[in-house]
Amino acid sequence: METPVTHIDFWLTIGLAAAGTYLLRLTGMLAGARQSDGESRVNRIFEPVGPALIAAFLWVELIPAHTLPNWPLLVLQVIALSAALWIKHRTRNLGIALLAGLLVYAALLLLRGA
Amino acid sequence: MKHFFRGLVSSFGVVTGYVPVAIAFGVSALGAGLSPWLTTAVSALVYAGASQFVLVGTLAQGATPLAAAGLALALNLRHLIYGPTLGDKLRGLGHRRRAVLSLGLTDEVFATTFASPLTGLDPRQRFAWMLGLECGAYLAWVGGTLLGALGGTAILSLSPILKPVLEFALPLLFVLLLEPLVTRARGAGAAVAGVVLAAILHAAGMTSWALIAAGLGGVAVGLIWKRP
Repeated sequence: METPVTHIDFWLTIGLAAAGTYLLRLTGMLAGARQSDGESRVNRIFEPVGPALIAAFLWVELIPAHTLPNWPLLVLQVIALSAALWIKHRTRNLGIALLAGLLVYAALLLLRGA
Repeated sequence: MKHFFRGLVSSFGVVTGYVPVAIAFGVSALGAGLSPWLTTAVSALVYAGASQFVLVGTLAQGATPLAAAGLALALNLRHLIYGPTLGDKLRGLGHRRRAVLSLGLTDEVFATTFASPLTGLDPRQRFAWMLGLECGAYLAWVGGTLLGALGGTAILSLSPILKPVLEFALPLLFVLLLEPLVTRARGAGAAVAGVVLAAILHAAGMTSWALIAAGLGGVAVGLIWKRP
């Protein structure tokens, strides 16, 4: 490993992350087993965390920190994202929509470079 | 066995979506200084999409193991709600089977299971179907990572647009996952809260905190905004 992180630190991090992620999933699954017919309060409270986090991931991925966005590139990305969403609505298939979005983006990059 | 294969076939959409993102992860982890085998180990053991990018990124920046793992776990907090939400699909499954299925319960596996009509199946058949779905998704993720880590440089040198296109796979996946979650006002409100909090802290260079704040913003929306 070429990073300043030692092997012990690496495996400790991976072990903690793997065990913790599994425990989070398991806790939810076992909580679901105990859940009665009614909906749980935890479910109602945590439900909006998904969209909030995914939207934040999206922002962080698309907009660089400390600098202004690369507007021409961002426009191409928005076009490709819109195309992928449209294809997802037509096909109802996440994988196909993802591939189509990547192909549209690749085509737009090639056109821009041409 | 029949239901296992049906689940495996149902994993096609997830598999197609995972491979380019997993290749991108393999390439990005390689760039952060991990060997191909350590990179594959991260995918095989942690198996948690976006948080793996954060995990490797923070490790490469010299974060402590506790901070890096804590941040990855904060990003995975949403996994807590998948079990309770899948109530009907999991009905009749014992703790041992739930423990097995917990190993592969990612965002996309959850969404596919949630959207699939499994009502006619008994608990054993539903377990086999979900296991097939999870196996397909897991193999795609780990295999894609290995592919990216082993041939990353060679693959990326094939064309100058390959790297930006692969890097675009993740925001694209997030948009496709987010879209059905924001069709209701509460989900849209949570997404706006997440973006506003993330944008403020990310602009200040505190990206890790931006994501944690977005998660907390989601909890705040859940507490304040009662579901109709």
